[in-house]
Amino acid sequence: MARQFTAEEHLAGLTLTVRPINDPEKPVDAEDFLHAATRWLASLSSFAIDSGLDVRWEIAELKRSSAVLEVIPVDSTTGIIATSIASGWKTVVRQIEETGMAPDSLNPSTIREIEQFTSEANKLSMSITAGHDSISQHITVSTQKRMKEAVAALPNEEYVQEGTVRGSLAVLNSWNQDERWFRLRIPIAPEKQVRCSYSDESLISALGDTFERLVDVTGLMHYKKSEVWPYLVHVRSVRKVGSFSLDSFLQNLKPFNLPPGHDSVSYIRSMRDAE
Amino acid sequence: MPSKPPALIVWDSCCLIGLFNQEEDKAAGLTYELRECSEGRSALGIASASIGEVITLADGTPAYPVLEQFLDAPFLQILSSNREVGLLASKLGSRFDLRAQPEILQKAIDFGCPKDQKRLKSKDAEILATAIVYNAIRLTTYDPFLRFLGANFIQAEYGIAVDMPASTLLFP
Repeated sequence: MARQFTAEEHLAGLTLTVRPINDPEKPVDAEDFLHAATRWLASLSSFAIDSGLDVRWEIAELKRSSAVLEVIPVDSTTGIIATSIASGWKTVVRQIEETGMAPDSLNPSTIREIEQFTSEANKLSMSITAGHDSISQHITVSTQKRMKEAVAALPNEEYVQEGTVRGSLAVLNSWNQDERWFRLRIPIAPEKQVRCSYSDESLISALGDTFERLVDVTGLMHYKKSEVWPYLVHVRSVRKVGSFSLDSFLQNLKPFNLPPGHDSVSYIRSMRDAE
Repeated sequence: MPSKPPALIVWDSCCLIGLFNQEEDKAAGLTYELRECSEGRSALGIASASIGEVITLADGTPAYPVLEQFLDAPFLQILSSNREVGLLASKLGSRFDLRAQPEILQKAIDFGCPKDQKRLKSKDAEILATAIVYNAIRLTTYDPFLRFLGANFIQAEYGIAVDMPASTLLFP
């Protein structure tokens, strides 16, 4: 049964209101709403982590038509409502909107998440309220511009390179033609799921048969400095990893060519010493 | 909740050749590590830097089709060189240039390293850095210089074993 929040508990809530941009009286498209809400929640989660809080988001209100979603952050361990997030979040968004600069305490990834959320206002009318402050803050073109400035002001903490990464396909999202992606789970780092975005439609059916199977994903890898695995891949190709039998492989080994008198160690040494 | 990942073992290039050529002193240990990986207790990492060191089969044909087949092993992960690997390789290469460190050089010779091997070459450094950056529990190698550095510096500083296969290291 859904939890009933008191009026006081609602003061810890954060609300997103989404309307169609052209005709606010019409019902909002469900996919557009879910997309915006996902971005919003991602930015809230990032902000909560920056605040040192591990929370889950309980739905306190969900209204149809002019879609309204209210969530309340609840400490994942204690179940106690985290009251500080709402006011902190609104203050941060307002500060960036006014100055184009994010506070130093904010992680760059959070600033990027907030910018991604506000970019949803390109096709929707969105407003947010948070905590005690009942005044709606509209996400405007000016908000978006300031968020982009805040992102542009961040030190370059990322780099890109071509590469290939192997993993199993975990989540497949092909319904939004503007943003198709899947998640790749890396066996030796299961806590890390790499977001892989693609635009090639022919990959949709190919990816369908690879769900939870191993694939090699090749493309432009986006890394955060000091992290081992990419956090994002712009996919160029996906290759299903073929079948492999260790016993059969070991029975059919073909030797490599080595110069007379060399074993594997002396051969490799001779190549490396020749540099 | 993600399950505990298998421990990563990285192979130096000599291990690939040692296995394929079934070298007497290496085949059993390397096969043992492969089985550990195949049974999910470990994962095998191959540095992208290693792959290009294996060029031709004994029959004169190119080695890459055989390598491709091996690289399809589901327990295997190719470990790309990236910024972190490059930076660490540079640091290791500079630190372990023993030409100006005669005491350490003498220790390396006493360990069994050839007298003319006086520094960590760039490929050695890249493969060692790859294993460290990707958090491997060991770099399996038969190269005496890498093993010397492993025993005297790398294990203590980075927590990674650099040595020949040893089942005891997998079950401490």
